[in-house]
Amino acid sequence: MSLAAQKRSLWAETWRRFRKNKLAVVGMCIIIALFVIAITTIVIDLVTDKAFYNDHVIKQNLRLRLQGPSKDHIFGLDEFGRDIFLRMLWAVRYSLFMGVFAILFSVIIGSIFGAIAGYYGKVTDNVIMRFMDILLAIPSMLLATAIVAALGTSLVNVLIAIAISYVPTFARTVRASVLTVKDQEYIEAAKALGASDFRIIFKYILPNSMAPLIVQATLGVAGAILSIAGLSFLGLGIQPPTPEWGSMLSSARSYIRDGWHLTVIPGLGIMITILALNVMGDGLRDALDPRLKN
Amino acid sequence: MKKHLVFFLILIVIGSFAFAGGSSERSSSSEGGYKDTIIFAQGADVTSFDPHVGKETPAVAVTNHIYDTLVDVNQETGEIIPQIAQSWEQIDDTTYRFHIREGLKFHNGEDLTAEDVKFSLDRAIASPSISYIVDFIDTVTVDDDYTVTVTTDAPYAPALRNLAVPFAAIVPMDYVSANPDILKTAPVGSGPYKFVSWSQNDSVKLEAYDEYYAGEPKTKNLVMKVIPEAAQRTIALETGEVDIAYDLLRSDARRVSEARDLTLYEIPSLSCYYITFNMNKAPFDNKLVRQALSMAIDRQLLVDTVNGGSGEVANALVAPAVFGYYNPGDYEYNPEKAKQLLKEAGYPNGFSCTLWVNNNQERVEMCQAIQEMFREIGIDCRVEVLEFGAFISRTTAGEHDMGYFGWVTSTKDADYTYYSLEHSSQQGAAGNRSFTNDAKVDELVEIGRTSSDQDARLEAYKELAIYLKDLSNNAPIIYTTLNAGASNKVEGFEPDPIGYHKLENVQVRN
Repeated sequence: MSLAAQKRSLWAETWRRFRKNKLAVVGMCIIIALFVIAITTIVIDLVTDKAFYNDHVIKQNLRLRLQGPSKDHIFGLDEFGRDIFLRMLWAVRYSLFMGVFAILFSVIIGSIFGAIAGYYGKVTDNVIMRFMDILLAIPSMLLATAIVAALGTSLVNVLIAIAISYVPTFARTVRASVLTVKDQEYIEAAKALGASDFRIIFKYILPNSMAPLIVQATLGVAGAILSIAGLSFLGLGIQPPTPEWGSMLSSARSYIRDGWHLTVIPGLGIMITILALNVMGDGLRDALDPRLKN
Repeated sequence: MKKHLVFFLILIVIGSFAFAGGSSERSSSSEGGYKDTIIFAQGADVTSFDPHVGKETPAVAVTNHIYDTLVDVNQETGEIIPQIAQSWEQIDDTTYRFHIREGLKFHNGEDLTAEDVKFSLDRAIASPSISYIVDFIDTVTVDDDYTVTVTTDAPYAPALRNLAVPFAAIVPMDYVSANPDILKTAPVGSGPYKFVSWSQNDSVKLEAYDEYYAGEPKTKNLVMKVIPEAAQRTIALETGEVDIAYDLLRSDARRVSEARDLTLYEIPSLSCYYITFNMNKAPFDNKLVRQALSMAIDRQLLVDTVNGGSGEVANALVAPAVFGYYNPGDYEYNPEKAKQLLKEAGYPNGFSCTLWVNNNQERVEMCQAIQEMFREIGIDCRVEVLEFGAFISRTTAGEHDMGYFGWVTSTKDADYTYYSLEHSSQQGAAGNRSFTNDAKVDELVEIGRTSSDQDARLEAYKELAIYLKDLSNNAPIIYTTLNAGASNKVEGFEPDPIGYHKLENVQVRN
């Protein structure tokens, strides 16, 4: 009972401090707006049974290709005469949800490995963490590219590739916080009361190691979105004609001197999203940092 | 101490700028108001300087200045003209005798004799990369120092044209037999330019061969620069970094033609781009389905838009400039009729399939536009982009539904294309990736291949073109153009329809 009360006040306290950082709040608003857009487009697809998507998002109008921004098409038309504004909106879901899911997946796997390594120490710790070091030694983008190249290009494979490449980061973060938590008195108390290792790890250690993980995850989503865009740019991610920012950017590359809007708009989309996630992540880190408590 | 360091650093920076300026390729003018160096840019480096190995266009565009062939083809008339062979006669259906120019020397001073010709042709036949161009040859015999006789397995009408392809280059026997790999890095031929240096993935330098039989080339030095990004080649041309740039982006071509100090050269190429249907797979084994898909493609719209208005709608696998071309009538665009055909074929609701293409952006764009045209007749087609090696090996194995291919008729003779792409003996690697196995096609291809009567050949190719259009195993889409941009100061540049541009008669004004 008292634990629950304290939890609530911890989050309330964090929120109070987060709110003071105006930039971080703007970032959060942008992310929320993107979620709303993503969900709205999914709902539209479900309600119209993809008819709207087929008739407006992937429908080509070759005779009007490369047309600049106008009243009817505020972001202009792309190299196949498709409306860039609609394609930007429909692309949000891939970047955002795939980024979030990939990170969620690696947070879960990474936390389990990190917690086990940190809690048991010794040989277990060494085996797990050396394996993570090996994964970390390979640049994450290279690792993801290799995985997609090996498994073939599909949404799920891209997700798996990115998730795997982020696992070691989270495993390290969690292990570090577990190491600081596991010698606390309340853990000793739990042990003395005969709690199982499983209960101790998941009930007491992990919830108390959450703060750095949340920050890391927010920043990780930004990295994952960039990776998805990067893979798509290389032709390994989401396949045409499905709209995705990275592939939009890639296919617009050769028209950079003919239609500025083709590259600038998806580029801005990626930039704003990443920036929003980063400022939000920074805000969260400051808000969750106990040393900055006031 | 710190001051000294700063001063030193500044010195380094200034020094490096000065050095960068000094390393520029431009050298001073030569007599007559012409530059002594032509710099041209292309998208890829030479794969191998060995003419019997490096068959890719960027390689040949350089090596064809170093090596000569027995005979050549006149660009305008299409006639066979002498090169290393001064004259020749056809003794019977399967025997040709060549008389070699006397007094020819390779760049290293070796005399070019009949022995070198025999050695070179035998070497070409033994080379897996290019043997297909010379494997019609049965034996090459040396009659005397300046006479060779070539006999073929069977009558082969395009023989002389094949011998004019740069892969049939003549190389020095003593030099090459001493070290079979030497041509890869230190090429020696008898062509208008000598090899000077190669810095991999950057540039190649050539120098005029002053003893060339047809007279010394007009410009002393030739420099090839590798600039992989196509947009970057246009920029290099605009800034004057290069004199000639090959293979510009379609969107940049307009920019070059509009620029006051630049000239765009654009000629019909010998390439045809086409969709191959894998006839070993359902539903592509059904002629109605193939015809329906072909009918769903608005070729004129593709030419006008995706291809930027350049090129022409294709109606056969060989381009109009090729010997043996016949126009069987343009392919109809009629989505309604296409749907009707699908219904007759038993697919009233369409089907799902894939279209494979290699990772070349212009090709991928074509496929995306075609994908949308297929969607309009109810076909759910996925475009899969493959790396070139995988694309070739997997389509060779017949794993594809449909593939988007390009084919250049390098010999300018229809046999080269029809035999490789349509004859049942050429399934898979050799080029027949529709896996066509049709007795009538084989018969017509063979008449075209072996008949020595040119009119009979033309008649066979005419009948073949009409038959293939109905068979629809391939759907020809577009004949592309080949372009190059050059500064207005460039004189005498004549683009080659295959991309093997020759620069020995080109000059650049100061």
